[in-house]
Amino acid sequence: MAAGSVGETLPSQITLNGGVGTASVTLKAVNLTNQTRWYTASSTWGGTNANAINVWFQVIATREAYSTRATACGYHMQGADHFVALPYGLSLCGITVNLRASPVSASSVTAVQERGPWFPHSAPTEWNPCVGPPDPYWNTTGVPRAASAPCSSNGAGIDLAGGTYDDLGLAGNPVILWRFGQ
Amino acid sequence: MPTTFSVTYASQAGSRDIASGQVQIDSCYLGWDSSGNIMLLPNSPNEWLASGTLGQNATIWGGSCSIDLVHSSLSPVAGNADQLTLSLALTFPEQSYLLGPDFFGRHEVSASGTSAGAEGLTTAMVDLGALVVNQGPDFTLSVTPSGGDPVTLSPGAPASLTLTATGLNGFNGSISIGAAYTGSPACFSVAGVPPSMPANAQRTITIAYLQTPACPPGVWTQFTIVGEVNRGLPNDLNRSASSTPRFVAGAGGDFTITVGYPSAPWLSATGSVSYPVTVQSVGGQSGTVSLNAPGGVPVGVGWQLDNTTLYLNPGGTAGTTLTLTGSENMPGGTYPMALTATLTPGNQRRTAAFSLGTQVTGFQVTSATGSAIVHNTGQEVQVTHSVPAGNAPSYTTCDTADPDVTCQVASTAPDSVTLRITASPSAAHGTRVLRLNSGAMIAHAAVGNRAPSGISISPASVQAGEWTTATVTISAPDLSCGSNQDCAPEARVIDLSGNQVDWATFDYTANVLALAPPSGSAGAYFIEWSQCSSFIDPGEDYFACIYEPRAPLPVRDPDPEPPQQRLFGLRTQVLTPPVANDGDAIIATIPFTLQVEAVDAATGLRATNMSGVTVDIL
Repeated sequence: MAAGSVGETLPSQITLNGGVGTASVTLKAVNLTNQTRWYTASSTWGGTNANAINVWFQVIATREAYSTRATACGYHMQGADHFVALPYGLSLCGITVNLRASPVSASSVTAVQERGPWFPHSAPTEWNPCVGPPDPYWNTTGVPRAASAPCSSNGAGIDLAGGTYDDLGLAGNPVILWRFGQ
Repeated sequence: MPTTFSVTYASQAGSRDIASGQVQIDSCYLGWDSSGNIMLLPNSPNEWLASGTLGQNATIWGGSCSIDLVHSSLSPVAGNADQLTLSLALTFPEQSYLLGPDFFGRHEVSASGTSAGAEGLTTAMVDLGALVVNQGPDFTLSVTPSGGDPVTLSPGAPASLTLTATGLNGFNGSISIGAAYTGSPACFSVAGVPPSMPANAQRTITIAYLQTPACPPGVWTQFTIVGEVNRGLPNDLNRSASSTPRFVAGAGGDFTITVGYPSAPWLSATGSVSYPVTVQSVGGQSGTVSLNAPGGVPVGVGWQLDNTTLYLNPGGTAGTTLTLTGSENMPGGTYPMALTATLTPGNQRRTAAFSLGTQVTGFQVTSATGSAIVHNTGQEVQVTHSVPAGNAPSYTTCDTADPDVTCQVASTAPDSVTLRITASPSAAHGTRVLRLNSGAMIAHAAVGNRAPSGISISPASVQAGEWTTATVTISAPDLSCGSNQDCAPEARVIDLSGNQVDWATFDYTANVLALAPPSGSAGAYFIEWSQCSSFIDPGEDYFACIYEPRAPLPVRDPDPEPPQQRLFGLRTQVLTPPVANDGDAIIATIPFTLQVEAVDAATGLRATNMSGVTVDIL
């Protein structure tokens, strides 16, 4: 992901008035599985400041159906499991994610143990008519491909195992927040 | 009360073909499906999709409406197998539950439906007409004064504002009150903002400037009063008053004290001298000024202040008189004096320096043929001559041969005679023979040149803790030293007590004072300059000195160090992070405000007039 290449709004200069200045910024993605985006502010008089911004993704979440088969990451579900699925490959297995039911609710931390929802999928099936490559929307537009794909009935960008889903107190297919990291 | 709202859908393939639909009443936007699932869509990314099931004992809200699910249904139409009716119990709060724009007024209603067939046909949004939402119980807040020109607040002079809450459409409940500040609110105290207040009531808010080193004059603040009712409920209402004026800190008040010109240039032994004393308000300051006893009063001099307290109106002046009374016990000379006053409130102390010249009324010489020293200024000098015991004179007249020098007998006593001698400005320097009782007794007077003159020094003041040289200039050098004379001038520095300091030396060949006042010696000092001649004329054994009036030599504390250029650092933050308790957190795709401040890390003060900052987001 190249910063600014996905329609992000990034200021190059901020004018200070009375010692303070602001800029409207829109970020859409993170690099790989980074929790944050880093930025530096530097001035002609020598002052510099580097800081990190935690980037959350707001997507529709679905509840992962219980299955006796192993997940894509080889995890065997036991009921009330705690993990999430993201629409990417096996390189995400074990990656930690932080979840919130709302911006003000407590967070729940778990790991990726499954692929999906919807993508990647090589051939249409009765339960998943979508066909497409992995969708690392956290590295691109910040919006899951499923959100606008006609094949997707719910536009979900993350799948939550039952235990994680219940921990967050969710019902239906709600919009939740998630980000990488603890 | 909810509004019952119905939309009837029809399909030629029968009501079972109707799979789902959408209804939009401006920012009240919902979707449903044939299983009874219903969801209210958010009207901004900060809101959440709310969902439930028709008939469920719950209320969901999103955007600008809420749905009472237990009183809402999706049911077939009796007698018509092709139709379904969606019946909704809707409530339209005046603001969205995330405090969006007010919703009362006229709103267009439209709906669409989707069939369950393989093709899944969806109709276009059908215009169903308009819905009018009336304004319910509400309130307004106002604060006066508001906006307009900035208001300057001086220390100790607070300003008041009136907060008015007005109920609308029958609202008379309690309103939670808060205030949102901008600028430097820590430099001001705001009192009277109530945590809550009833509608149709007023409250008085007071704001005062807190003058501290971190809050210099010029800092400002401005605030808005915000009221809220039904917080967290669907009918949450949030109203704010217009912003107050910008309150700007003004300079602190002060006062000055001055001692004016005396009523006479000299204080004689039997006379008095009055000085006008004036105190003046600075910066609109008012209060009571207390005058202390004058400092540096010479021995034998009495003093009186007509008033020891004066009241200052803002911007006004007040005055009194200091009267000094002489006595025969007082020494002659020029004496630096000071008058100090204290202002209440504020406890500021200000001092005025002035000087007192005393005229020696008599001195004695031990020789029966003693001499007097008279300067050719036209100013009378009284001289008392002692006479040997047992030879008590009784003198009545005194004269000289020089018309420019006059002599009179002031008084006689068994062992002395006091003469009044005056040398006019045209009198030449030198000695004169004084003839008592037409020559029965001879005395002498020495006439010295003394033109009106004065000392000036450059620089006019010196700094404690620093070595410097100062050139002393006598505007009219006045002692004509003839030949065979030793009349080198002397200059010395004395303190308020008249003691010569040890940190000044005078080079009379260059008229330069070398000054090295030590640290901590700041205060009022004076330069004394004198020139003495041990021989006015060859062969005459007289001694004459000329003294200039003392000139002030202030020694000041070291100048305050110029403010060092602060090393401002940068401080950055995400304003109002949308995710709680996660530092600078943002939500992808949603714009946020990034703030950069140039601040002094030591004081927290913001920089001013800083140029732009380059931002590089990785």
